[in-house]
Amino acid sequence: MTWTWTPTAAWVGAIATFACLSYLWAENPVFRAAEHLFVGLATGFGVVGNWDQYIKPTIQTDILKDGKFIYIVPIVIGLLIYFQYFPKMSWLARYPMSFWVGYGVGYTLAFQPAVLMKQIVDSYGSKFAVSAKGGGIIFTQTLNNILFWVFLLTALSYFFFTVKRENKLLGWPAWFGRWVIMVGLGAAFGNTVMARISLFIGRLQFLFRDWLHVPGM
Amino acid sequence: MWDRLMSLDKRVIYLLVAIAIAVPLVKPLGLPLSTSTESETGFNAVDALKPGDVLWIGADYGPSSAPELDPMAIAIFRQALKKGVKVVIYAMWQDGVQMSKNWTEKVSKEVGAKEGVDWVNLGWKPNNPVTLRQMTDDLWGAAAGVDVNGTPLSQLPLMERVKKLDSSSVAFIFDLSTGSPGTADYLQYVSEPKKVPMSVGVTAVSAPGAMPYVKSGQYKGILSGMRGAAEYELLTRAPGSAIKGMDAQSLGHALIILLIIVGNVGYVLRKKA
Repeated sequence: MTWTWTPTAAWVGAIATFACLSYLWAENPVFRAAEHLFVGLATGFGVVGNWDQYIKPTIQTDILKDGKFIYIVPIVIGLLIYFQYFPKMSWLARYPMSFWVGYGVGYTLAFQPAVLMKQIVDSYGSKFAVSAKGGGIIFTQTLNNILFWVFLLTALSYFFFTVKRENKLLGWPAWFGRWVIMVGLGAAFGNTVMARISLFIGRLQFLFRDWLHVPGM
Repeated sequence: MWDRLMSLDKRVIYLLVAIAIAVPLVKPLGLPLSTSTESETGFNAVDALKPGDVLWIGADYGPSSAPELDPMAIAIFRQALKKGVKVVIYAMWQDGVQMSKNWTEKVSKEVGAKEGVDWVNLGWKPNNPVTLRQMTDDLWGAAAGVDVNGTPLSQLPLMERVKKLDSSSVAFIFDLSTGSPGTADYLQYVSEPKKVPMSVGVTAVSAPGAMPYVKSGQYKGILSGMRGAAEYELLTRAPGSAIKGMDAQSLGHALIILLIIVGNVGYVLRKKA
């Protein structure tokens, strides 16, 4: 069902927005109430979603209708995790955990190399960008590729701690690499600012459009 | 003067930022907006799909990222449906269910597309990315055999030819993601092993982390934050909330740059004094 802003819902949304923003003035009980409300709602939403979207259809369709009774085995293994609340039998809770850890590690090791290999090949591959039309070298792209390579190596050299920074050969790449890292962090901070402003814009658009009904919004 | 500026109450700064953002929202300045190569690449990839192809949209975000990712989702979904491309939506984030419900119903009504025939929303399934990986072998089983409304997939005509999340069923993936699980999981468990090309729309915070994958060609373009969303709206010639927010975004940034300059000049001058 599509969400529509009824007047009551818009008022609740507006009050919750101001309650959250009130933290900018100072920590206060209204903000804390909004925070607790959010945590409670998110938990309830999670429980209902889990039941509604997966547990119920799995039992109804897969197990009861399609007869996939083998699914009961992992369900039972999964439920063993609740034995951690019974100290004398808490050792049983280790079994689902060992499955998860083992599966997770194997899973990552199986799938990550393909992704990383492409990154490595791309980082150290040919730096010359060739035009698809005429076959000539694209100067700006080639320069960009070379700069990327220089920045990558110097940034990596910053984390090479075996040799002292006073070493003439390895000192300057580490020094330059630190600047490269700082520029990278600056770009990341700029993106973070943009994201936070976007969130505030979203809230203002809600307040102006859905709550106050400002024309043209 | 510098002493007073340097000891300015942070709440004054909050107020200034709020004003700088609120004013252009009510009274737009009409600042020019261009499109980047990264956004154009993503747009062209969807535009190159043929009628009947299946586009997979990942709605891996919640309300906190809606201002950035909702406009992207709306523009991509509308572009695909208008071209006759079929769309399957899946959320690895639980909140993504409600997020996707908002724009699927709004856009499909506008375009005249039919649920189950032109698009299907699979909703959210737990235990991602394991479920996502399982979908590459048996989509129906991994999805517990039902869509977001609890309708059996066997009753949805579109799903008859989408039994696996791989290149035999899905032509392109466009994942809209706030973090993890999200774009990296699609790349690792679907795009790379199953050779399904993909593009991403991410929050501005996540963009620097995703850029290396764009450069290596693993992501066919990227939409970064509200700016990326506005560019996509511009490319699809359907202005929405992202374009409306760009003036506010620009003014907010200008003010923050000014504050950083003032702060640094004040710091240096005070140190000298």
